[in-house]
Amino acid sequence: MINRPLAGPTDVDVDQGNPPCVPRDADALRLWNDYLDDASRVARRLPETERRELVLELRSHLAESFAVAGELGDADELARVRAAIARLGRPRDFLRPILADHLLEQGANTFHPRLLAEGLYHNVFGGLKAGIISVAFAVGYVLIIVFAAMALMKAFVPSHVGYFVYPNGTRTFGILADTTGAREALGFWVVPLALAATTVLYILLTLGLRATRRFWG
Amino acid sequence: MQVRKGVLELIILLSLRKHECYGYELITVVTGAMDFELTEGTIYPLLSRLHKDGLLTARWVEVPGGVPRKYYRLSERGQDALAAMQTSWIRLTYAVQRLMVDPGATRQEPTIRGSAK
Repeated sequence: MINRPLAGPTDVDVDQGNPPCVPRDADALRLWNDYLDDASRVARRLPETERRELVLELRSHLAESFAVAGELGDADELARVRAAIARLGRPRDFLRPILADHLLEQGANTFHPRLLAEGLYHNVFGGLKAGIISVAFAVGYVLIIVFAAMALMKAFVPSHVGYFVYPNGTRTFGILADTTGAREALGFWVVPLALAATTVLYILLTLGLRATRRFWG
Repeated sequence: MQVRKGVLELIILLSLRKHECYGYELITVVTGAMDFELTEGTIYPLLSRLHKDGLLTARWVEVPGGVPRKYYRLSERGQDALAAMQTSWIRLTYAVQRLMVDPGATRQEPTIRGSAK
């Protein structure tokens, strides 16, 4: 795949057969292509142009690394490709910052929950500071899900969801297993209230994420 | 020695100050000039971010008989950012060095800016 259709954004044609800095040995070439395919797969959520260019750049890197080892007298192509790949690292490890950046940017701009979730997930592994902040935001989103769950569960277990007032004056808002002795004060108003809370908090949290994201790393 | 991302960014910008470089060359420069272990791939997300932020410009260059290279160069904005980063770095290292020489230094001048009083 990588050897055939990829062309750079400036119409650089990389498809002129394999130059000497690309392995000729079948096993070495397979390993090389598998690696670049893997990088391409990891980067699949990036915009197409960015993904292609990134893979081309990694291909260029492998070629340089491979050629340098050849110049130093190592004739074993498979070993040279293995060494080049080992030094470059696993795409799913080193591409995380790009993925997190892109997913969080897109997620925050479109309020898309899946993009936000994936972006936060990648960021958790992206260094201590970014990781801690990402976990904090993730906890915030989980709390918001609780409000959405309240709206949903009110339909199925109405006596366990709502604003409960106990005879001793204690008041609790949420989903409770044991509501003995309590009076539920809101009735089905819980549904629009919980949905409104979900929406408003989701928007506020996402706007907060959008505003602070650049300072996480 | 492990380095933090911010330091690596500074080193990249410094390495690109005089001439343009492609990724592999840049890694050679960075690891050759300093003594650290670097998973080579980590440089690409940094280059991508610096490029996106407008601190670097990039262009693809054909290599006769080889694979095209993506060359990076410091933009005007990158030069300004580098100048600001260098100033912060010098202030920080100066303060740390003073603390190393004289552990009581902070008592007289509690902040880095304190020296400008």
